[in-house]
Amino acid sequence: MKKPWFGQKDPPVTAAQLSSKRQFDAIVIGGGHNGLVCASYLARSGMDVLVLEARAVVGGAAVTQELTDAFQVSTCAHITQGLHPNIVRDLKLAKHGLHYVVRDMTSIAPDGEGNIIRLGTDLRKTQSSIQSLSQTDAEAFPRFYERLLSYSELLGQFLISEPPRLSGVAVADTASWTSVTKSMRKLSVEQESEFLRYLIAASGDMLDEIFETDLLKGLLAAESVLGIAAGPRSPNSMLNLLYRLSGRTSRSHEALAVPHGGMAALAAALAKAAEANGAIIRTDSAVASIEIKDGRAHGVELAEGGRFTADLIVSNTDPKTTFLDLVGAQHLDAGFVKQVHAIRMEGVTAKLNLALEAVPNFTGMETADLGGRILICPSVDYAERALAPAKYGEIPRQPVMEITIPSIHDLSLAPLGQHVLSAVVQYIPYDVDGGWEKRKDAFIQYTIDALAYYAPNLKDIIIAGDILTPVDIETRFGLRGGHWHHGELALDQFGSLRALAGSSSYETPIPGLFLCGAGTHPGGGLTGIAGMNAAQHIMTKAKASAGEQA
Amino acid sequence: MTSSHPDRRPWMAGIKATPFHGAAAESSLVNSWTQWGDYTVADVYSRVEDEYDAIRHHGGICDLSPSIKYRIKGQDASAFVDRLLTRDTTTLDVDQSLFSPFCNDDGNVIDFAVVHRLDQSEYALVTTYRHLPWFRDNSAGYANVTIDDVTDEIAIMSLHGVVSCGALLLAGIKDVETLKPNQAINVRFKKIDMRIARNRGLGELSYQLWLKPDDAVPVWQRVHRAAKQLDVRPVGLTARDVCRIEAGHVTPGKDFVGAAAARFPRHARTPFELGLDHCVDLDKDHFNGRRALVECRERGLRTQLVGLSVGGVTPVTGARVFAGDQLVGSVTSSAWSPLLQHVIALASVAPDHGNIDRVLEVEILEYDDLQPRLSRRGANVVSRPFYVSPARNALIKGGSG
Repeated sequence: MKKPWFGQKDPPVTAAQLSSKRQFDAIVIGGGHNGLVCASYLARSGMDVLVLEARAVVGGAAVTQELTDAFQVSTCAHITQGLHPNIVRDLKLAKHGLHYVVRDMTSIAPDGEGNIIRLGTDLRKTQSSIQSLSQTDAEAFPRFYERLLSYSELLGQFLISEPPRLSGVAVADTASWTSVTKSMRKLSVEQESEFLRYLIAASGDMLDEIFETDLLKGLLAAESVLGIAAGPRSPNSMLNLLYRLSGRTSRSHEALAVPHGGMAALAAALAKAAEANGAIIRTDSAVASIEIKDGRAHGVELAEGGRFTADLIVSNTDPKTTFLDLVGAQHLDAGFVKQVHAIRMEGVTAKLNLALEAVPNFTGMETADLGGRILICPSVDYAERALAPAKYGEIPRQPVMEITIPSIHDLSLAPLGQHVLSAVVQYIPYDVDGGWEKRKDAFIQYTIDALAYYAPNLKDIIIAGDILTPVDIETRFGLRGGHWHHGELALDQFGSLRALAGSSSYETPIPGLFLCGAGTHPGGGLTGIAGMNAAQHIMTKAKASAGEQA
Repeated sequence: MTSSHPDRRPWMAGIKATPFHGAAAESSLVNSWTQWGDYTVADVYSRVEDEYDAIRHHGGICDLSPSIKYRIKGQDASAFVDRLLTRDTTTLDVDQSLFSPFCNDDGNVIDFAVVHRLDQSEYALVTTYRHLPWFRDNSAGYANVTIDDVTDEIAIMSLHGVVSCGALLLAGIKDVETLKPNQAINVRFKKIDMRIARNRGLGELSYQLWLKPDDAVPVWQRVHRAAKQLDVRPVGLTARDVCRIEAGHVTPGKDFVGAAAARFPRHARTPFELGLDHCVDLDKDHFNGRRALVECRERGLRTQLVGLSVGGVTPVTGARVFAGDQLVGSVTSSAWSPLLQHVIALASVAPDHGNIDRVLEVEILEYDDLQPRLSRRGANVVSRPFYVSPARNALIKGGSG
């Protein structure tokens, strides 16, 4: 095996608009996608907005970088679950250069022995791919999938509204509860209880109840656990499945999509939209602390020195970093700080990017399949076996993977005939036994071996590669714990309980400080919903207080 | 006397005797003991009336060892203490002490603390209940502070009453006369190191002696013996509590439920609702509960703690308080005041009914031939405290000695 691994270099600074202005209406900390979405909306409403990004490029985990000469890859996130259509429309993202090379990708599950299940938008095609393995499953599938999508849609409605606070007494909270129950009321009594069951169940158990084919169950199980630190046998893994599918329902065909030019194109379009609306984006500007004056957020101080002031500070970083590092526990109440400490935020998702000199031959796959997203998880137990070692700091030999070969669709990413392979590798522990310094080679070897089982020619065609452990994801992208969602997505950290019970609505105990990142409701996944909801909340509040003063 | 094994944590221990127990038992004529925290202390030594008289007219010795004590130490100790308590402690000098509530995030009082500054970076906190997890939670963000429960390491005896200073001097303990209220000195007496702190306990001229447990019995006996000629006697909890109510001191667990122990947040109380406005410094740097207290002040009181002067001769603890037919609150502590010659009470009432001189009624259960019947007694809202001794603030010897 060739071993040309090397560290990444960040591309040169993007068109960062620098300004000598120090005083703004609002400062957004972190130029990830939610930060950009929030900044755009705030700027659109007439505010003077500054976005401060620690890295040289905006986009957070949505970036495209050079893997090796002439090979480009979406370094971290590689598929969007679907920016919310309202965002695409409101921010005119198409005009600002967002074009997808592929959307509604078919999910391909190989078992390595030549069997393949293809789950796509065409239900009949999906059914026929299941049929070759099980007639009963093929018949059971449509009903199950329709249910799943309708529940996802129901959940989707909840995601774009501000969750009601549990202790809420405000009119908005009551209204929010009403909208939740109203949507629920459209269901039959039987469906209502089933929906509730879907929210709390373990996906593995639900799948066992309905299907018999391991490969089909494995595919759906993988979908239910991607990005979270739980297995298909963990309670409320079904929630993540609904959450992920909520972007793929009738409302949008921009889910499971890859932009032209990789994820950086998504970030670039969002940045352009923000700038078009008047926001100023400053890269290489890591925020060291949020200044508190008379109990209010008052400004930020940069790590390199220098201050910016604004009456409105919006943090797109995760809640732990925001409260413990940027604000500081001294400025917060002890009960609150304890809650912040308790947020579960360790990711188990790693990334492997490979430059390939030829097309990888996946056993049993047709050429068209390579343009899909390949899910390596041939059974529910496979996922559980991959999770088990990770719980105790070990690296699984057979990880769950989500693989794309974006160069199939996007010729700008690799020389003609050559390819980049991008794989999300799951159940890779954040805290590994022996430390990542020593264990990186084992991780590479296991993962390449596991991949080669499904694509036997893989080892012979690798030109270069790069890996990101959860720790690398943390240090390179600022995602604390390396977690996609800035905090585990589970029922106890969802809806009204996200980011924290009692302060779910993008607010913080510090007046003037708000959250807008994936750590808030509803979570991450490149949907931009958190940023949109936060902006909505902030604008409503600003309007209300302006009304009071008038 | 108890010996505390190092591996034995407070919650592993059963009921313990205090370090003064040997001496206290010698004085106990009625063998009446009660439980205070993890310890047994005397309820009554001889006769409640005599013990009460001792405090109000001569001097009384009390065993306060069961008070919970914490040692707070480190460079960040000052910042930590100030962040924990509602009162500004930044101006507290070494060898001074002050009283302050501390609150949860909602601004409800968890407990009271008397904070003693022992050194530039060392404090002792004396509380009613144990709070180590809460204190540790509050230390998040302060790198250099250690918090230890030292309850078993410090024995405390107190002297109350006009002759308490004289009693200490008679026992041979010098320099106490130079102390002002809330001041302390470290004294070495017959090879025994002790700390003497003056305060206004029970509304009297009062002193506390902080001792190592092994020194407790000899010091108690020496002071007791030397002060006998001044009619100083040991005083149990019953007489102490009467004096406590007369002094108008609110007590957690009696007059309100601590926020950490309350099952329903509405049963907890803010410092304002306990009449402790002077103990909340909203203008200082952030302290726990500050934001909530700012809101509470704007929102107004849910309830108010008042003093009542009640008709009849029996205490009315727990009685319901009425304004006409309207239930407006309840009595939290009550006693017959021998000094005032009427029943006094602390009561929690709706804020509209807390004005001085307001006429209310308390409803009590009375028995005729073991047959219960409800009856009402008149109760006037009066100012607190009901009584304080003029000696409590007395300047005994001017200057710093």
